[in-house]
Amino acid sequence: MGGNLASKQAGRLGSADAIDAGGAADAAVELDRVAFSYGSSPVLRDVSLRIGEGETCMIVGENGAGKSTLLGVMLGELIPTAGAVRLFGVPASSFCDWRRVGYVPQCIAGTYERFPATVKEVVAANRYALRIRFPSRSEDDDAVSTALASVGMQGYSKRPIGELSGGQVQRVLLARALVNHPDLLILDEPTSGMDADAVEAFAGLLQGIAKSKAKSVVIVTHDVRRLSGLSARVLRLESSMLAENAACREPVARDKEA
Amino acid sequence: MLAYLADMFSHGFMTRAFIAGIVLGVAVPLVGVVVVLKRLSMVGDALSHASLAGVAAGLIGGINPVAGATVACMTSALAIEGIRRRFEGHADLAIAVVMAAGVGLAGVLSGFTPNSSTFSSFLFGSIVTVSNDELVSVVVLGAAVVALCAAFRRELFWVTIDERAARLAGVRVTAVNLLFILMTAATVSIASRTVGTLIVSSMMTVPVACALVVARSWRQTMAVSCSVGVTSAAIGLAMSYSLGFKPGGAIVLTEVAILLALIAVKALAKRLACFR
Repeated sequence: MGGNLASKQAGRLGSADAIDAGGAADAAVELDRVAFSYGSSPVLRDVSLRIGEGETCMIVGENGAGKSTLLGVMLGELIPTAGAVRLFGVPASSFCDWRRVGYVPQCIAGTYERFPATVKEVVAANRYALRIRFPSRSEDDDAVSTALASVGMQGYSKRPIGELSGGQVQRVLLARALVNHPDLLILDEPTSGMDADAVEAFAGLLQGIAKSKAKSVVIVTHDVRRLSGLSARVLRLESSMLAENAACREPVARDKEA
Repeated sequence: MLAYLADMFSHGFMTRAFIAGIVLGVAVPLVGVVVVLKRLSMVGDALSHASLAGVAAGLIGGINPVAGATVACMTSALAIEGIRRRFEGHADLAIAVVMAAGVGLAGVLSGFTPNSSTFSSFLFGSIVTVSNDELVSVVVLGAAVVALCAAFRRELFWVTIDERAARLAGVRVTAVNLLFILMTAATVSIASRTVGTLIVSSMMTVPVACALVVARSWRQTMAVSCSVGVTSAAIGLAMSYSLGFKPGGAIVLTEVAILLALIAVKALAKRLACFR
């Protein structure tokens, strides 16, 4: 319900307004009049977006609205048919400083079930992005412990990831994304498969990370209600266009109450 | 016991068989861990059937059948990777298509091979007739697989657990997948000659199934898979020497017996834990 109210209140700003809304600070993500289509079917049209340093942005839309395509374009996996995409000022297709980007994938049920890896192995894997040929084990261990502590999962490092609940797995994947202290955090449907309590705790965690570490955070989700407690700028993807919530700096919860 | 071992190893063919069995016991499951966890368990079957077509082509063309098998395996591996990328999310389709082509081609070409007994020897292999040259190729392959798996351990872990996240950690996913599938093809083509095309895929998957029963980490999975591979090769070859079993079949049946034993022990341990 909150999501509907929020969307009703959403002011449909033009693309130029949307790109300006991030402010003048260095942009973590910048999309300039981006278009993308699969064959003759347009999925994204004239999408402009600027996500500045320390900004939290939520991109919402129904299933099939093009969120995954937008994410693919943003991450340089899909080449737009028109427009430009930049990550930290570098064209996304040639961006290679992945140490600056932390990615939390959608946790599809069963993905990690019976996968034989410990929490520590999963989190430590992302140290790869530092491009150190012979990494120091003690430094890796310290980084993993710090990342796990930051998501409240200290003490779980030796547990197999397949034994954890959906909410715990998502926290581990968040720790993996945070292990290199990235400047930009991207979360794809982070609350799917979580119960209400886990979602609430996860939203609080995200809020704390976004505030305390001044990271830019992008959350792509189909259900804005689940993260309604998060203070974020909300963009809605609809009819291949990106429209901005008028109360872009206010918590979504306040939109819901208003 | 010592006399039995001394007698067994007094034969050069058994010494060569043991060395080949132990090297393959490490190398094949090492590749198998990634194959199984990427949910490509049937890839060994597809490649081994394709290798059979290569063997037939080699015999018809008068070239080394192992070379024919290697070329067929490599080509099929590239085809699987190409189809897998084209039909994203349907890796099983890529394997099925290549396997169908391999079986069809092997069936047609087998009718033209000049020596059907040589062709048949590739079905179940002949590890106890491994020549010195074949042993060298098995050892070189095994060393290469172990070295590549060690050098690319972090990349292989990444592409196994999540390809998109791997790319966003800076892993060259396409290159790693290509390297891995070619490594798998080389392993299958060499192992097919020694343990047989019908058995190599079992050697790739059953030790990993054993590891999945007991291992609690990626490292343990690798270690347990290789241990089961080596133990089964040793027991299977010893059984083959003593009882006259076909060595390839004896090795795989030993692996299956270990798997069943591990499942039974784990179930028993669970029950006992409930009573405490």
